[in-house]
Amino acid sequence: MSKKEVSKGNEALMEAAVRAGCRFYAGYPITPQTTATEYLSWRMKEIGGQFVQAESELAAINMVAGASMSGTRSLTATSGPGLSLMTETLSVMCGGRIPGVIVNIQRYGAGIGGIQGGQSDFYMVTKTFGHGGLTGLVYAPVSTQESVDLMVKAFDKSEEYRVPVVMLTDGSMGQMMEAVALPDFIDPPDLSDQPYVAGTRNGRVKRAIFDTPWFGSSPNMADNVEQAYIAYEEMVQKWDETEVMYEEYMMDDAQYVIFAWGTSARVAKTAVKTLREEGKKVGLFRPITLLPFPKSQIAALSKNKIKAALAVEMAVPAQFYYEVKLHLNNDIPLGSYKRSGGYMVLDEDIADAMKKMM
Amino acid sequence: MEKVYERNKLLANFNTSFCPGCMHGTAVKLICEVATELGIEDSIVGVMPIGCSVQWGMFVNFDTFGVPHGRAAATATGYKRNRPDNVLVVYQGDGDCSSIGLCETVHAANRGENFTVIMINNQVYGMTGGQAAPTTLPGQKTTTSQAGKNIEEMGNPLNLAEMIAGLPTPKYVTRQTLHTPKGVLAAKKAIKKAFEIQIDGGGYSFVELLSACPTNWKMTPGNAVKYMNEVVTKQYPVGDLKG
Repeated sequence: MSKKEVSKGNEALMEAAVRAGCRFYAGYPITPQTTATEYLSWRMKEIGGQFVQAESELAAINMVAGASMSGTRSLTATSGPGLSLMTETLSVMCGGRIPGVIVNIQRYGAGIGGIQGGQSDFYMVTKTFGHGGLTGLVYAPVSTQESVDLMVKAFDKSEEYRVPVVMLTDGSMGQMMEAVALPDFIDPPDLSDQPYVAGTRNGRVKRAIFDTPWFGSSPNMADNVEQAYIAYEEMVQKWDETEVMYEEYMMDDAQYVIFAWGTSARVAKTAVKTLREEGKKVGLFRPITLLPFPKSQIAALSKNKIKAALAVEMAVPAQFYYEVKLHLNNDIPLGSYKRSGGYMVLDEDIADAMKKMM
Repeated sequence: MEKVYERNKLLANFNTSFCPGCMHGTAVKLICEVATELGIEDSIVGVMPIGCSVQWGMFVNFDTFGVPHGRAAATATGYKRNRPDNVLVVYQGDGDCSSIGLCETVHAANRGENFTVIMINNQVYGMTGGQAAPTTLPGQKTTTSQAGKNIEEMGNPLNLAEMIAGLPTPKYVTRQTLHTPKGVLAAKKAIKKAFEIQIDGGGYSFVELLSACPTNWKMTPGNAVKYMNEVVTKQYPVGDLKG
């Protein structure tokens, strides 16, 4: 871990990727991601890696898939509209069990939306990676420090499970300057033996590395596909036990819970502190992995202890709220405080919304 | 007895699933023969696109990887930049390469990526049942141009090789045909030249190969060859366009 230095969120995160052994980046400029792409345009060359300014996000994610199939740790970064274009290939990467890390520096809204930070891509990355219903892991850091700390893990897990890993930050986190201790440099791993890596000629011909698992023990292609997808589902279900990450803040004696993730959680923490100063027993529950979602941890919150809860997000219509509601005990009233993005959620508004439920 | 011919070792030891009269099989065989002649059996890697062309990846004894429809040149870019010593063959049909993948195709060509694109042009979407492609000829009947392709609505045939030859970066751009023995020999020579450029680190090469699709043209293989001679090669003249 290096000494703390002040860095812009996007740049620190890209430097963390380099230190994590990433040696290929392809990206297409989109606000608020551009500073990430600009940084790696020179940094990758400096470290002996490859940088390609792609013709589109669609091309960028395919370059990442191609780089992964060469055995190189590879990365792209984008924002909502770009992620929409990438979903085709995220689906292919899940199906083909091809790793890669995708940073989505969220902006708000549908369509072009707005360039300020938002959290309205929650459903898009937690329900299915493109068509077909397969998913990878989704990390949602709260700060630049947490994002750089998660970057090594993102690559490791992407390769361990052979799935794409999405990291969600947002426009405000990306532009914010704050003190950060960057992770140590690690050497890029040797992935040449991996089944998804082509052209390494170590042992056998890897004919037809393909996104749909047609070939297997059965002469019937549909059987092979079904078996592979059953195994995929079992893998995803196991993540509920092994890969869930979350933070609890002042939850020990809490009678009220605020649920929030990413930037909203950072603001919500201030609201919790304010309410605590007023003598209200409020805690914060913050999922760090949105996929797997901390389902059982939320379900375990007791109605005998928790009187009410509030879900906070920068998304209108609400998305995260419904996910929390799905798992929270039905006898605990759950409120929703949300802004559409473009506007930050405010700690005094969060505190007011929570107090209204007391 | 002297052995004068044998099945190329890079071809899998089973029959292809291409239709009778289709020339994909010839193209795949030529790629394998050239790879053997150049001694690149251990470094050749193929890209499997979407469409009939995808099948080639299952018929060859070297590593091949799949890509989404149209994205071959982008995926190939990410691969080849990191494995510069492998010889990368991006094998695509005309719909994949010149319609849904036009953007990726042209930009990879313009960046001068050091790989070879081989585009099989049979003027229709084969695997999906013979719909019109950007390459479909004026008046040609397909399942989506049942009265014959109307260029007022669907545009003129897209001569992709000429388009790519107009860019300053590509090193070698050619169109060859697989419907005559002379054409097959010239096609093999073209593939060899393209691979040699790539092996020397010379940059991007594009080889368009005209093929018949008797199944979707609703012709016998024999009539399809005649049609290629009399009609197709008039729209798509054969020969080197650049380099």
